[in-house]
Amino acid sequence: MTIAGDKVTYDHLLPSETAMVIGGGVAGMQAALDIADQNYRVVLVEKSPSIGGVMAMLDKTFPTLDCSACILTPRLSEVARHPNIELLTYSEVVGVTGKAGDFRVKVLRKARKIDEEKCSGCGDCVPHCPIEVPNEFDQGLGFRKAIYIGFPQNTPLVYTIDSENCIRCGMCEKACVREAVMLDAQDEEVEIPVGAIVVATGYELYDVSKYPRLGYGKYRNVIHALEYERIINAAGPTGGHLMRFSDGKIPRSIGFVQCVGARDLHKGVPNCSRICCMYSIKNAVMAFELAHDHVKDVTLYYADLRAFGKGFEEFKEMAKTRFGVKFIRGRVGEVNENPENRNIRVRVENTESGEFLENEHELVVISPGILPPRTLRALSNQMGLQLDSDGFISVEHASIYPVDTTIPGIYVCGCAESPKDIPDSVAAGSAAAMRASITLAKGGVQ
Amino acid sequence: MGQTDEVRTQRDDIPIRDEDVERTFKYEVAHQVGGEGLLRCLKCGACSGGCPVGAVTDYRPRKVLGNVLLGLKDLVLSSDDIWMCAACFTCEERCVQEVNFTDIVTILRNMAVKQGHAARGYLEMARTVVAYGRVVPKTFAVDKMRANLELPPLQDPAMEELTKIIQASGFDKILALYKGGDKTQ
Repeated sequence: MTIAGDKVTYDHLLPSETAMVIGGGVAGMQAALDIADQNYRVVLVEKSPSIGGVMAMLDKTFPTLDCSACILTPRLSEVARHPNIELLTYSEVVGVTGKAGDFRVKVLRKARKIDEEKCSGCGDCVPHCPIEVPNEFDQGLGFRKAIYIGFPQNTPLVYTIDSENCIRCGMCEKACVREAVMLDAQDEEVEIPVGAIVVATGYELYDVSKYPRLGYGKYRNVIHALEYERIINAAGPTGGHLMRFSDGKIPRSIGFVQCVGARDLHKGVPNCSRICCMYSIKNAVMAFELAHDHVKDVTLYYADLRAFGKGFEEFKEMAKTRFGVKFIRGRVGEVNENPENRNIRVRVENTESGEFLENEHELVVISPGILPPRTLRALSNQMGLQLDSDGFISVEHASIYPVDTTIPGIYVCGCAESPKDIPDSVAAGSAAAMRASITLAKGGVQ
Repeated sequence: MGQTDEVRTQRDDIPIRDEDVERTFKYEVAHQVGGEGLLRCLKCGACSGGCPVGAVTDYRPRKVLGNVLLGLKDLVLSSDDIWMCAACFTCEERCVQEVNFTDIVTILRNMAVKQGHAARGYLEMARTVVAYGRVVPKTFAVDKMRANLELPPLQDPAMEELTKIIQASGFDKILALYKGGDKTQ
């Protein structure tokens, strides 16, 4: 129960039997499940109102074109219903003290203003809320109310009141028959004793508006890959209809611009983001899958195609031969808009032929690289973790201790360590879970 | 191009022979001031994609860098490509590997001039500087235009000092390689 003023304690948890996972994305969920299945207790802390991370926003996964939600949502329920997992969503870690086997973690439980025990997720409050703001989950393309769930499979299925935009009109309070709304709830800080910590804080996308020459933010028909992902998603703001924003037409020709905010010394991001090549090929294929009557030309402008994983090269070949995705090697110089029809002209050199191209596309999708989240530096300072020069968490040894941080008892998985695709994140989650449970079993002795 | 009668761009269909390749050429360029970034080049084509000269001609900065890295010294220095750069610095601004292409082109031009490959336009400009102390010689029309704009008349350049500088820097010796028109060697 989290009724305001009623201080929740976690003294019943024994540090020798409890682990904490920070971040509820696909890697953190895997780590939590694997620790919990070994009969240890797990506290899973997630910053946003729902677990699921970025994978919940995706439409399909490469290279099998599996529906992302179909493979993720059973996992979400499994985590939420696991008897050994305590889910603290809408919470942030603000301080860590102690050592392996006996950490004390301070967690800020942001006021959700909804009683998690009482709310059934019926949504009766939503039509009464007068405030509409862009939905972060849809990358700001769709709208949500100030009392909201990001997406239908929100886990736990509990609404959240966004204090920043709420005007405290009290309409939701009147609408809620279960009396779950608590507009006066305050943030509270709890201290949790744990024996081991797994950091799975994930990533954020590079802000592509830092490349003015690519026109993002200036031209409406230039979008980035996660926006595209939401557009083609059946639960997304357009209901799964591929369209461009200037006039709502189904684009007949789409250009994908690769290597933006990755492998760029000039912008301070020298590392390769690993996943952009593959997710763009997948997105290119999805354009044909979704609107094959309309889409006539899909071109992918790349610097180097890195199809590194199992089945990836075959997937690329399939995109080329079966779907007819055009691949042009050349970093895009600049894009500009045709003022008549608001199509986007892409200026690029085909470096294989030396030809200078000025191709017109109805929609251009920029594929941003991935960066460590902005808040990771503050978190790592509190925990005393070391960061690599690229801002990701550094590990004990990249080859033989790939999930051990420089502090005993703290492990890292997923994109917090380096850019990873979904299978690699899950594998790292399992690895970190095993390392953490060894720490617990030995009582903190390495 | 207007500077020479025939534009000598680097052609793609010429096979590269072993005797054309000078393996140390890229280090020769990279060790000069401004050329440090050359060895980092990935040949991704970001420079060519945004080049305003490339948009209207066959000129491709990427190809120049590629040929330098291959070591095709004679081809690079004798071609007109290195003289087509407008020095707008767009490629430097956009290069993801921080290759200072405009600086590299300056290095290549200096090398080319010493080998007797100066473009005619630039050669004439250099001779005008030696003769009159100005890139654009002072004419009656310029004087009149300045008077109309109420600007003070142009002063005569300090030719004596300029000549000393030209001699001390060896500029006159380089110009002596050239007789008359285009390239004599």
